[in-house]
Amino acid sequence: MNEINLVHLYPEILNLYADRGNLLTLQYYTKKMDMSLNIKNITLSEQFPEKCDLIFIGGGQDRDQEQVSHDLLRHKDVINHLVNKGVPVLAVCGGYQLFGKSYRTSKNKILEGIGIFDCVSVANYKTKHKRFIGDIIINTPNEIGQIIGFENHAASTFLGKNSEPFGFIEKGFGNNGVDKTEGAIYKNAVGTYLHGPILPRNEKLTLFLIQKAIEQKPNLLQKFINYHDQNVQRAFKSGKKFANKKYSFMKRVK
Amino acid sequence: MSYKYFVFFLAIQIKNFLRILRISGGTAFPGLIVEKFYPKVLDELAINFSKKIIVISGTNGKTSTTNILKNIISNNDIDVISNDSGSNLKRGIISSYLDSLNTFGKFVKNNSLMILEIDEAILPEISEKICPSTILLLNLFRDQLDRYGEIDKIREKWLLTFSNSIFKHSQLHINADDYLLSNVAQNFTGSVYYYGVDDPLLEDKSSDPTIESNYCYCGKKISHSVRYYAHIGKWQCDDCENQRIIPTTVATNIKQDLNSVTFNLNSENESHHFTLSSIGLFSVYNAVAAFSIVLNLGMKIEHIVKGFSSENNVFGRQEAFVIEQKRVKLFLVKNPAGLNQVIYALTQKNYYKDTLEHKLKKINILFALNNRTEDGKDVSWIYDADIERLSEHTNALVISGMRAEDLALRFIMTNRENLIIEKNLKKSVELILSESPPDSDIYLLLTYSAMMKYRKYFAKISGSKPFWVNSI
Repeated sequence: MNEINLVHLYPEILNLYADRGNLLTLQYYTKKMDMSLNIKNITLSEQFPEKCDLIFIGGGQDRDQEQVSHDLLRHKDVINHLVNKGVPVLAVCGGYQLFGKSYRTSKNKILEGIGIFDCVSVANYKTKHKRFIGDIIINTPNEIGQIIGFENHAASTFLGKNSEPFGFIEKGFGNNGVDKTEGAIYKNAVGTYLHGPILPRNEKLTLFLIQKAIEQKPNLLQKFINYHDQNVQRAFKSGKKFANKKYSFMKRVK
Repeated sequence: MSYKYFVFFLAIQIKNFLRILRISGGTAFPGLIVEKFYPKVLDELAINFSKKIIVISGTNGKTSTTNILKNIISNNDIDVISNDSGSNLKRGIISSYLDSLNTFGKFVKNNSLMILEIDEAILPEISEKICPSTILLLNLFRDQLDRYGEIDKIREKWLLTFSNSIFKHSQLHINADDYLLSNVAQNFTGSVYYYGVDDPLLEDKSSDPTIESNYCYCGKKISHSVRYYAHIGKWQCDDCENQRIIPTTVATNIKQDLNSVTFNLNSENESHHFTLSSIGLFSVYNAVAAFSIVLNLGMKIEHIVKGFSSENNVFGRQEAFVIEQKRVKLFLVKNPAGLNQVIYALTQKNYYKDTLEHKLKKINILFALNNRTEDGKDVSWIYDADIERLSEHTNALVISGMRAEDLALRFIMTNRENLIIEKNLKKSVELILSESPPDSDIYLLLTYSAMMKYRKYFAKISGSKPFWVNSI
């Protein structure tokens, strides 16, 4: 079977920010490679499926994150096992926070994460009533290269010793607006604040995730194509042009 | 002349100047001047219009509802002051207040009613200041998250404000079918009136992937026995006692086609059939919301019938033009819920009754996506809309606007190949006119700043007047 099995965690709860565009993009690219993407939605109190080549988790509001954080702990061991085996992960915003060690909400409630990334996140850390909002450009130190997106988060994330940042800020705020880092990467698991959604315009990251997913199935390896889409590159260029204008701002939300 | 009257005098002169020279409607800048130089203006407004202020807020439908309400009331011989062209920030509110003053800044509209649409983020602050006699809350959808943060924040703010006892003599009119508003109503200190829709045939069976997470305040799931669209419908909490209150002003028996929508209005044993020349269930909600207020101002359904005009398509909201024998209709789209409603209304199967085989006639679309401040800087929301469905039903497709590349990519992700990108406004219009078959319908989907530009252009080439001309 030419299929990649993607596990989408809590799609009906953590769906705040158009991040399903990431799944559409994975679908689009796997189709170009003559493969299919088999998406398995997992929600509260469901079992983690046996087949899993790729994991996706999106973001939500504090209330939504409280809903899932406890439930997600049930899958802590299996997800850690998969990630250590090399299964790629894309965890965006709220999902990124819960894949870290802990997240303190704006109401000072501490939500325990599953610790894939060595990081802690704190809402409104020295930034009461403010959010990090705006276009963002980051440079990753690996083959993924430059990434563009849009960030909108109230929390600051601080990386521990055992986690590498996903990228370094060229424009925007990233993890905390201070240390110039954005997101976290561990093995093939990527945690990031970038919306936009992140995948449609960032082909190299899409290809990275698909390639690592395929590596879970050696019989499919010859299927991988380094597919380049000129529409994507055009949108990347246009998006970068906008990001480079003076659009990032700390915004007071009343 | 005192300082205050001087500021008013100046602002009024500027407003007249802008209008007479047809530069703009003067719905914002004159208000901005007063806001800056005489900030106490809102206190004055509150005193002069005491017990005669209606405010309208919510994510979608503010301008349309304001216009429906204004027309009904003014056609019943009550003078209305309103910011009905959609200028809904503080400056727009103040600018419309200038209409109640004479040239020298003296208040002269003692018998007038004020109807204000207000941006949902500034609603709490303004309401505390002017203490409206009637508050209408339409709905809450995710919208411009870069501006508002999360919708929970808006909701918390509304809840806090409207549980204040200063509103104990006010009326709250609220959409019974939007569960996100329910606790604002439960904690309101004045009287609460519910309106809504009751039509089980409207059930939307598609699984909309973008609906708000349906969870009650108690943390348990919200279920819908009928879901009309997004999270709107007949709802109840699986666990606690929170559930939809049966509304007193209700639309039933809704029938839609490509040009209109009809429904029965039921209220207290009375019933009447209405036709709207706009499309979509959201148009019905707007009308019923306005009717709910009218009926509780001491008027009857007969007054609505007298004052209601089915032609209520205002300023870029379903406004129609005819160009080269082709019908062009403008839609303001600004968030996934609103866009999805337009998409579903335009792509319903039973539209073309004349074709025996229920074949779907394809539509022609020009879609312009901008991301100025008023549109929202962030364009990610297009991924939350059902572009798959739109693409499937679209014949000619022209993509325009500042973020045309992003929008084109969104369509390409649905595996669409046939589309034209043209960022120039004039050329984009020429293209959609030439690409559409003769005698066909063309729909323009436009974000706010794009709508302003395209509307101006269409008004020019079709020879219709700018919106403020009638009011000079």
